[in-house]
Amino acid sequence: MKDKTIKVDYLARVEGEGALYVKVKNGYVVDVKLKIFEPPRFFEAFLRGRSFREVPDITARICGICPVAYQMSSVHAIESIFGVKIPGPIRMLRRLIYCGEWIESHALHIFMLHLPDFLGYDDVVRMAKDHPTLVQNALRLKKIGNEIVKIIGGREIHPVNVRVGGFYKSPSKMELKKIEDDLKWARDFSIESIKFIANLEFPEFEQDYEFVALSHPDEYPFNEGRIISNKGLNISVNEYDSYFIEEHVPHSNALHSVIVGRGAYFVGPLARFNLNFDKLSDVAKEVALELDFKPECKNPFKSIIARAVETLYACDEALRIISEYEEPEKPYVDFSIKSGIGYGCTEAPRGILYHRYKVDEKGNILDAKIVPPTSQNLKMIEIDLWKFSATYLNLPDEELTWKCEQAIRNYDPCISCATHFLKLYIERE
Amino acid sequence: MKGSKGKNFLIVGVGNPFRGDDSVGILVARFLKRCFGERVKIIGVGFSLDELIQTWGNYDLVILIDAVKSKESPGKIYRLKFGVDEISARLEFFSTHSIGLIEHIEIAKALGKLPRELIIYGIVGKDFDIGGAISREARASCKEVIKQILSELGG
Repeated sequence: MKDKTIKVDYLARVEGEGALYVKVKNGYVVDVKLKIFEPPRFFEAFLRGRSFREVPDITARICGICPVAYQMSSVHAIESIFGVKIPGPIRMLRRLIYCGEWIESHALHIFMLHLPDFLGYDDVVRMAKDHPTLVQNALRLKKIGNEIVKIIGGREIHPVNVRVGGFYKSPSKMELKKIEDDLKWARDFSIESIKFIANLEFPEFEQDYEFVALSHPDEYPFNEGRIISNKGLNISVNEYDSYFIEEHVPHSNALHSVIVGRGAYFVGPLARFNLNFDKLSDVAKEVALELDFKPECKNPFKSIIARAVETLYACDEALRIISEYEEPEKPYVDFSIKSGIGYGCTEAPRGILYHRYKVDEKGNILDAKIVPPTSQNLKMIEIDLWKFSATYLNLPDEELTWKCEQAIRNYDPCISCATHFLKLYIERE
Repeated sequence: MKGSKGKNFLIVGVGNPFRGDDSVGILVARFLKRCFGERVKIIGVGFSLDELIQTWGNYDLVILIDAVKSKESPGKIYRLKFGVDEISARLEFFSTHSIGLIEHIEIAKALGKLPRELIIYGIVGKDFDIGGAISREARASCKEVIKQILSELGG
């Protein structure tokens, strides 16, 4: 076989700017690099010296798709320093705003970015010409997710209503009730979508992954829980730094995370599904089992099914919360500022998002650490590509390139988050 | 709502105010908002275009303003009528979003949501660096585009 390098200079349908480089020599893959060009954004550095009050709004700016995740991880981390206990209704609102973010983010990725791969379209524009109703419904679903974020967060992207201790203002029951009918439609559409998506054709590809996700005794995880894996990891959030480290790699502006002594790991919808299946709502479990989609699924291409199941769960959970919600007397709880170090880890749409802050006695940030899910998945994506491309080397370059891009999109990488564009190079020598 | 030439119109400025010349769409729209209020929508980094395209079918005229990356000199103004002028591949509308401006227009078309008339103003930018300032050329063209849009609407 001819040696060559396949390059994709601009990887489309991912969030942010990056490229992929695959080198093939004597018929073997000899190098894979997922290059992240998006410049480092230095959020951790410019948080230093700012008040803890500004942290949720500053970190929300890291991402336009998952700002709620940044707000949630940051407030939980800071609240752990001050010893804040969040009462029921505020806790429910936090779960509800997260449901909104999962719905909009998952709808965007499933239908606009990833589904065209499975249906053989170059992009959603061409897919929309043949499947206008599907795209129309997907846009409606995304809008419903955004609407939840808007009602609770004040606006749909980069919400402004989240604060340490709760929210600046709580929505009335009536305001939430207004989206109930839309959510019921979204739940039905999600069930239809799972059935459609589970019957797509998936490449035969499995690896012995270490899946990592939060786990909570009573619920599918959003904001709280222990960090667990299918290989025995079971730690509290404040032990994160002892088990996970970030490494610099020369070809990327994003750091790569590994589990100390074990290496790459997998976070996101498939990891959550595999580790928390029993905590899904009854309807989500039933639909998944009916389609024989159950843990432990080791095919990363089936992440799109997990994402669809989670969308259904988020609709269901949002409906439950709205029906039980009673507006709190006060939208936040009072607390005293203390110095210390706090840890927060919540389930962003793409996987666990870890924050650590050290604050002084006035509540000013002395040190910050933020580990987004995409940088936790980057090493795993490279390993997938290494193995996956090796099994398809006989394909023409154009097809091989497409398959590699599809494999990258399994992880819904958000390059903007990870750096802190994607281009692909496959070189055959 | 009707413009002075009787058209039910919508103006949409697209861009990122934190990336140098990518702010041109936002700056033009901000100015026009003072004249036309709710008939002007500003799509910055914090807002998503896909919800807006679903309303386009309700309008006679939609005017979009965005920054363009091109080999032409900075500040050059393009006025393109969708479906009439060819929107050439050499024109790259700058986007920090995963789905760009032209893709959104194409999706609107596929979904039957295009307005009767869609006009795109593109201003060629020079510097799109994060945190960068708007260039002198792009700023001057913003003023010119405002004049042209006002004249187009008979204002």
